[in-house]
Amino acid sequence: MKVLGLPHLLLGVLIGISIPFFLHESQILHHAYHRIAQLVEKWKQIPLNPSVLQVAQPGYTIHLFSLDPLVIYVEGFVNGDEAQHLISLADENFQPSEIWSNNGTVGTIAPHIRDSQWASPTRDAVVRRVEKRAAEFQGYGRAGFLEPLKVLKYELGGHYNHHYDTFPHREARISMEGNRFSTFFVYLQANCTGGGTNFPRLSPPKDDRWCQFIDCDEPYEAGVTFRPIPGNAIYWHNLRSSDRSPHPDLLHSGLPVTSGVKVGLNIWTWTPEDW
Amino acid sequence: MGQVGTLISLLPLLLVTLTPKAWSKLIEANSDSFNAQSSAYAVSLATFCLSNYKPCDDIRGELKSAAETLQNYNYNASLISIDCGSQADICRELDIISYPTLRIISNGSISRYRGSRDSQSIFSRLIKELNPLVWPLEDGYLEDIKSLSIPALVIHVEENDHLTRQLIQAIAPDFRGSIVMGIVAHSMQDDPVERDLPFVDVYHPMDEVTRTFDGPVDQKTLDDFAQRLSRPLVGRFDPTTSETYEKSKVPLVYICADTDRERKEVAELVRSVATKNHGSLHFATLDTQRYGFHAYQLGLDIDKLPGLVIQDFLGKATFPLDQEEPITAELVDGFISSLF
Repeated sequence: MKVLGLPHLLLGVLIGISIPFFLHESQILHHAYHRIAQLVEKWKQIPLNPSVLQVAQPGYTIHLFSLDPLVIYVEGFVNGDEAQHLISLADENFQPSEIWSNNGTVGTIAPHIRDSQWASPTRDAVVRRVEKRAAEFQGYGRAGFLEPLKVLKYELGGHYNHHYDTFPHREARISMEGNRFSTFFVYLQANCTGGGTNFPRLSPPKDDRWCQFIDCDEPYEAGVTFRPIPGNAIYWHNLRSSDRSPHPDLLHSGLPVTSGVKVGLNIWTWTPEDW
Repeated sequence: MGQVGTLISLLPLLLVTLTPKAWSKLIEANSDSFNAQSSAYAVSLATFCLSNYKPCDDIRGELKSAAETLQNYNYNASLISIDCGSQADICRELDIISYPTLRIISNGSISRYRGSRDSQSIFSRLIKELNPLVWPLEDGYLEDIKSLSIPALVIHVEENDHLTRQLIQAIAPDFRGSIVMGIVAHSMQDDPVERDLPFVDVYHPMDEVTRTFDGPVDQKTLDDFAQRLSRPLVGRFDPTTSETYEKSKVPLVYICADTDRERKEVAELVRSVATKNHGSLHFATLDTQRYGFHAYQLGLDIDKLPGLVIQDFLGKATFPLDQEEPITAELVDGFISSLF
């Protein structure tokens, strides 16, 4: 037992984390999720909002879009100044977006699947304010830790094919603590056509008042496509509360931008400890 | 491709009295000509697109095919294409935010087209908007007809059978709004049918029992049948129909069950009784999954369904059938005879 236990311990020390038990999956998977697990450990250590910062009063309005899966449309999640500021923080650091794939490859650039640029903005007061707003939106003490925010820029033709934000249930269970519990996709800039966020498995609402937020020219069979509107956000719960597995109806894509530029912001919250 | 084939095979359908115009193309409109071009027809479908954009290229063949069919039927409808890359004004004015966007222009108002983007669906939608007296139908028509929620009579004819065509054209005006009349032309060479032409199919989405027409296809028989068809043998009781049933003052026999299958089963069981009492009694199903409270208030034990109960609107009384016995036609017939 000692012989077996030692390398396990060493490995844990080496990469700064301990994993619950050895993986029986392929080595590739092991390494892939290992890296994510490392990142997760790092993100958990980031304090949410040091006390000195002022928290702006949220000016948003929520519209409950769907109960199962939980999808909430948030009008005015960030204001114009915040959006501009986040874009300027990201502007010098944009690089091609990677995909973290289910087959265990981490950090692939594949423009036919995902064609955009991303950057993590420096965590200044505004970023922390938005982070705090995102956390409190989900209920006091109800959210896990946040992944560092990601600003995404989509230019002509920019898109992201249908995907889930979550890691597959089994892989997440055997190699990391929790999963991406919730997603905010915030539109920061949208002087564009196209570029909607499509959920093919959600049912289009009947009430025409949604047409201000949803592309009501899409065919019914295409599901629901949210229009890119600066300042507004779509919030959804990725995991089903019954068994914590990724909700299959949350498949989504960033449709191609057909003119102009779209800039979005991803805020991912991980599974809270007591959930 | 199958749809295109079907459409082309149906082209001879209405050519009897009509002369086809030249092979049509999609009409290209610009910001200035859009209004004039779309209002030149009773109904237009406008597609807002971009050149060299795959989703737009994909739909173009379907639009052309639908345009050709419309043209060959000589319908008062058109398909218009607008390139938003070069005609930004009209696209901005109409709040076009993604491509392709399809809109329908009819009677001066614009609405969204959100159906499937194949030639047949587009064609069907335009026909629906035009609402002709007799619909030219094809393989995929059934779902369209069902979505209308009114009964349909579909006559299958041999393509050169002008007499039967005239017959259905003659009775169709009396049933506009209450029955959809459709015609399917069969070319005996390309498309042999097993049944003897002409024959009539009946679709009645709001009737809980299946209705068939097996009489001779002549004007009087068809007309009488259509008269009866326009009133369901066993209808559905729900908030949209309740007032009609109550106002008629005719006693109503409710068939109450939780599932659609059970309701249809009981409706079929009592079909003979419903036919016998057509006119003096109404029959309707009640979905107790949704409206269980109504069955309860009528005096049924909602834990022992399916059940049957008769409401006399004049006497303000209800008569539940014994729920311990399985429902049969004889039981219901005897029960009704004992009451009325």
